[in-house]
Amino acid sequence: MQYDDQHIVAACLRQDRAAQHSLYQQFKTPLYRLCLRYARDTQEAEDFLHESFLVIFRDLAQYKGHGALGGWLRRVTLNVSLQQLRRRPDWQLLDEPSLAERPDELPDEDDTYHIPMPQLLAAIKELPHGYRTVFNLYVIDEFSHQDIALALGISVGASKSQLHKAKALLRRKLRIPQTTS
Amino acid sequence: MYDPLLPYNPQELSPADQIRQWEEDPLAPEQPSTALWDRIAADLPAQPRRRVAAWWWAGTSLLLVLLGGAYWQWSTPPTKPEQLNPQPQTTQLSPIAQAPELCPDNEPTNTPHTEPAHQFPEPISPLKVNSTGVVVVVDEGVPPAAAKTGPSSSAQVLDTFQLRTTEVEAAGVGLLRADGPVRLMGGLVSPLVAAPLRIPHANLNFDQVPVVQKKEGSRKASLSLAVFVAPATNEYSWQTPIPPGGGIPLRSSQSSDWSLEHGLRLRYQWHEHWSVSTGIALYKGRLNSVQRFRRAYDPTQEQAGSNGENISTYALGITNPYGDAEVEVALSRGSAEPAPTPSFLFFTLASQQELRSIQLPLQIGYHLGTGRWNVSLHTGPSWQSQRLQNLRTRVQVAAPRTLRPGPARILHTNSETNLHFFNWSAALEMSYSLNQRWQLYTQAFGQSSITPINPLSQTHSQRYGCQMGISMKLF
Repeated sequence: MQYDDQHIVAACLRQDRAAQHSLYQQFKTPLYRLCLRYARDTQEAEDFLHESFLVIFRDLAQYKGHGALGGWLRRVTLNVSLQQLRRRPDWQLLDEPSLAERPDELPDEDDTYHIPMPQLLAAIKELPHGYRTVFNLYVIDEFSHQDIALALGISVGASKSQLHKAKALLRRKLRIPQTTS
Repeated sequence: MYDPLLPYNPQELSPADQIRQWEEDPLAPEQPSTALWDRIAADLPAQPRRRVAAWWWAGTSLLLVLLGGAYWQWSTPPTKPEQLNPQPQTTQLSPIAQAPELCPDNEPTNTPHTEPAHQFPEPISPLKVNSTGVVVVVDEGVPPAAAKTGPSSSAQVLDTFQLRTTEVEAAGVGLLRADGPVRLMGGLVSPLVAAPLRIPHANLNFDQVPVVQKKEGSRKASLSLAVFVAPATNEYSWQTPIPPGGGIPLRSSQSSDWSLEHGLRLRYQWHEHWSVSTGIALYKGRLNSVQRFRRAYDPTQEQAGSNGENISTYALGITNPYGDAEVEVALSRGSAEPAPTPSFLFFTLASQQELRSIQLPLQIGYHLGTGRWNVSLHTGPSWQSQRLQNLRTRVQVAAPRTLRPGPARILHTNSETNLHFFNWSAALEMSYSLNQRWQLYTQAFGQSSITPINPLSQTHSQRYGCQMGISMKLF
């Protein structure tokens, strides 16, 4: 059964199981891969997706039709994944920047543009949790440092610091020379 | 995990765009397992029964009551005299004798009444009385068998009519049956003056047509439909049993709210004093509740936090009838601070939910009073269905100073909770008849129900309010 966005939302709000399954089928792949970027492994990514869809079906009434449904689902999934990350017992608070790093002067521009894609993907996976999360949020999901600070409960400086360190670590892993900033 | 063979053209797409393209790529191998949907579906709230079911039942019940009442009314023939013989009888009436004991001022006609009975214009209403009082109809007649054997028998009271000025037509309900030559007298006795009233003879019309009165009493039956509003207060309370030896219960809850109820009421009154009522009532409001939890504090259960502090976590569950929710509160103690002695911690969890209710009552009523004012008592069961949704919570903790509570986290909430239960209601109603059809009424009512939640605890709910409405008599 095919639904357009408006009808599928209305049917899901009525707890129509067929409509909920249709919504799941339609969006499970991109949302799963979104979770995959933040999770440690596929099992944890499925846990994130599982929790995300429960929240989606619970809060679907909040989607008022402004913007694409996929974008709203993506935001919910991202928020749920971040919440799940923070609930993990081994979740380490991101360290605050040292005075020597002077985070206000760290560059904001996306210098990862010059990093080759296949190596970049593999290297991102090997980053520590905190670095990987900030890098994903900033570079791929286009969060500002203010948004990252709010989402993760850290300071803007810490977000910049983590991004800077993530990029530095990526460069070392990928043997890319330091760009001038 | 990531496919190193993804197409890459750094001249066209940024890394972020390429990753987003990868996320949307249907051919990429990363897919969730097929069992994931089963896990999600198992954790989703059960599919609610269709809302139309309640409306369907209410509508069907209303329709059945209406149809039943209408059928009953139509199947009962009016108390209309029915001629046994299609040919009008021409039996002569004897001259109406003077009846000094009842009607001292009545002027006897002393002329033979030879008109056939069928010439009377209104055989249904032989008595035309425009006064309030009691009519006593006396028969002094000679049955056909007795006529051959002797003089007429002594007078006997045939019937007594309670009359009100608005029910003059009711005088025709108790029709006289005459099988032979009879002498009839009529009189009106006022209960107030305790003396016979005089009725002009012209107002005494008696019919000689043999009649059969099939049924009597149907005219007293009535069916009325009312609309109403009712401000009311709802109070709920429940608690777990008090522990052995006294003390406070482990969990308890009280809640209350105000609501404005509205609905329809259908009442069938088959007797002067008795009626049965049903209908439908709806209201919505906000249900505020406060739940208190007592939890034992045990320093040995604390876990080390990331900054060296000791953290103890407490999960507080809200169960029916206020909606399922799981709230987690963490208390942290500094690593250098001594642990307080084991004791109890008290959590107060305030919650608010939107509430919608539908109620189908069935009440029997006893009515008193005549004229325009009427007082009645009603009681009976009522089926109630409540839907609670959009739960919001706030937590307060009473704990030793060294245990610092963190923000409460809602781990899980149900989107909505549905409750179905019976309550018992009683009401005192006072009504005022504007005319034969319309009636204003006000009704003070109270309802009470006890709903078991689990084998150890019950919910006690009370509801008080004042219903105000207008009623229309359908027949």
